[in-house]
Amino acid sequence: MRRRGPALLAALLLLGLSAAASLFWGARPVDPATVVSVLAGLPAALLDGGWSQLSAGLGIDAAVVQSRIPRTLTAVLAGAGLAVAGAGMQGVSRNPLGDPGLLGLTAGASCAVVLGIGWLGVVATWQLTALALAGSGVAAALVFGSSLLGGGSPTPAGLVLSGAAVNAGFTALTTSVVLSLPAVLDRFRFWSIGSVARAESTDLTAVAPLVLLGVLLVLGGSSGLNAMALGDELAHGLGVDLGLQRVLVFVGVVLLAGSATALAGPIVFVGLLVPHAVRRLLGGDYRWIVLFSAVLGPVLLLLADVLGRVLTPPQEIHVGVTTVVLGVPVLLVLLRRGRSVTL
Amino acid sequence: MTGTLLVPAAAPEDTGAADALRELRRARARRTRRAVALLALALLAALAVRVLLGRYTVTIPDFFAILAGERIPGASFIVLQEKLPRAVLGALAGIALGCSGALFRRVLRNPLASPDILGITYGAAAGAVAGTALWGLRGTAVSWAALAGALLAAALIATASVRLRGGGIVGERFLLAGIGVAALAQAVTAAMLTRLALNSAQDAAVWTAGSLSAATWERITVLGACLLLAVPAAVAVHRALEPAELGPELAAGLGAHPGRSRALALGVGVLLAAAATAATGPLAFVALMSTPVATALTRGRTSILACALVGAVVVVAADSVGSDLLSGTQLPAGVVTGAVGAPVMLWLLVRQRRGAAA
Repeated sequence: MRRRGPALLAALLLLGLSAAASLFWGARPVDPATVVSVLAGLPAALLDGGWSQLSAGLGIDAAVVQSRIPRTLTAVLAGAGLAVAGAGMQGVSRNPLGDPGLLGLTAGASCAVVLGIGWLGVVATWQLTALALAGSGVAAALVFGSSLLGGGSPTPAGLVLSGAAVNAGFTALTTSVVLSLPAVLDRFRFWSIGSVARAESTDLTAVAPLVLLGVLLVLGGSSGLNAMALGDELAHGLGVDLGLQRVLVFVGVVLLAGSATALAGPIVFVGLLVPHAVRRLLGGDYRWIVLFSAVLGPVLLLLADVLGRVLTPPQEIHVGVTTVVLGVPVLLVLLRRGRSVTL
Repeated sequence: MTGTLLVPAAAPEDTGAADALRELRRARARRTRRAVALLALALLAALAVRVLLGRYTVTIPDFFAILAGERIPGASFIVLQEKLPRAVLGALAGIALGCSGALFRRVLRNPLASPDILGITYGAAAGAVAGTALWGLRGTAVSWAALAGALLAAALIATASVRLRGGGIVGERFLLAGIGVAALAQAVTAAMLTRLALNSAQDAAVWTAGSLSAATWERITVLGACLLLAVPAAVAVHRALEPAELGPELAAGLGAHPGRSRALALGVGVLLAAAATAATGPLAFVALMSTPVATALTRGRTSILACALVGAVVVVAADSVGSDLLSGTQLPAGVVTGAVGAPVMLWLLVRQRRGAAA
């Protein structure tokens, strides 16, 4: 119990370090002094609404550093969103495999985005974000709705199975649009890989409030998640109103999964790995799991992004690939350890 | 029907009970046989629709004349090089996927266990796209790359989940490792797709969706030869594992060797799925869907023949729908099976839960 305070401090320190790594390292080596001077000019640039007077003096290096700032913020937002969505999902479904990617939410979001690009000619970020939110909402409603239809509470296997079904359905729809419209394929194949490099600062201001709201919603419902972990009957006996808490967490998860996907494309495994790692270190109290996921999710995404940038310069590996390449061995080692992954 | 069920040591006084049991078992076998026969008819009908109807219609006498070797301008080419190969390849791939799904389901005793969810078909897709992107492979070479990808995926899952000491495959761990490998393969596929030029990306996208458009007699021969060896093995192993349905302890008590036959069954299942995927690309949901549908049709008993036939009917029908029935556009069979399979799967899940609740 006493370890949690220092652990949170350590996690925050880790977040600061990885954010600094993301700012200072990249495919193009930049003198640290340039980075510091650009960062020192950040408040002034925010007030003026542009980088004009600074970048003139420092050349390409400054521009590189300036492009790393929205990238770092994207990784922080998307990482927090995905990890907290995973934690909430695992709690609501009482399912160790709860991950927005595995349960079809990101597939729903990307399907909606592709339909928007292909048929409605959508380009603006807020439109894409709204579509992604709607898509992940529809997917979540389908998964949980179909698992509730039979009566009683959904079993973990049943839920993952519905998730797989919804996932495949949306993937089929996406593929059919992508195949009939070559122009969409060209945009989609770069979007579908999951990357934090393309977000603009305007996207960030649109999505940041949504992510914050989502994290607060899941955090608000996390005491209910603890009760749910005991099972519905016992929680009912304790006098906890599970219905409201479940709706809170559910809305939060949909918000987070949709906005993170709109920002960075489909990224799997962050939502699965981070909550499991936290649970292993600190035990099963959801209030702490959600809080730590919000801090450590960005750490994972930032480190994955930095790794992708420095491994094969001047080419970059997209973060959607590095998270999986980092995540799968960890999952396999956890599985090999003997004890299966449980809640 | 099977020799592996318990034969009750009927004492003379309860011959009545033994008779009732025998009658029950005979009725069940009859039901299975009837379902298999109906499915075979359905497959024949689906094949006939695929070959004879559609955008280019062939009359039945013309079809037999073409098969007999007569050359009808236009029709001969379309039937022999386009319609018939697609139909036959679809049926073979469906049979392979259906068998593979039934084997996985029986060994892992989990409705999720199928080569699609476990990443074996995604592994094949990743291998094919990587082969195209990195080494510029074309044609049949892509199929070999796909086969290598599928086997690599299976090897990864096995190393993660097979315990060296104590032996045996841990079902839950196998599933989780498979889901991890599936995500890895999808990421590799997406990364490779961005390295291709737009034209090759289009081809690769069609392939990763699962399509019969590249059907040639050469592919059919290769896949057919694989099936000729693997399907009898699959039927035998599936039957040998029948006691495993009761749970590992009881099965061991009945004298089965679950460890060895389970590993064999998974090996055959991987090979079947890999061969089918190498020929057609990953056809979504066929392996996952065919076992529950077949079990619903035979009412309770899983017959691997029924699973295989359901798989074949689904693939052939999906190809008909995708290439002939949609106005304006043609879709690969894998897209149709995914779009149809999702609601069917959800409906099956709801129905299964209703049954469990009642």
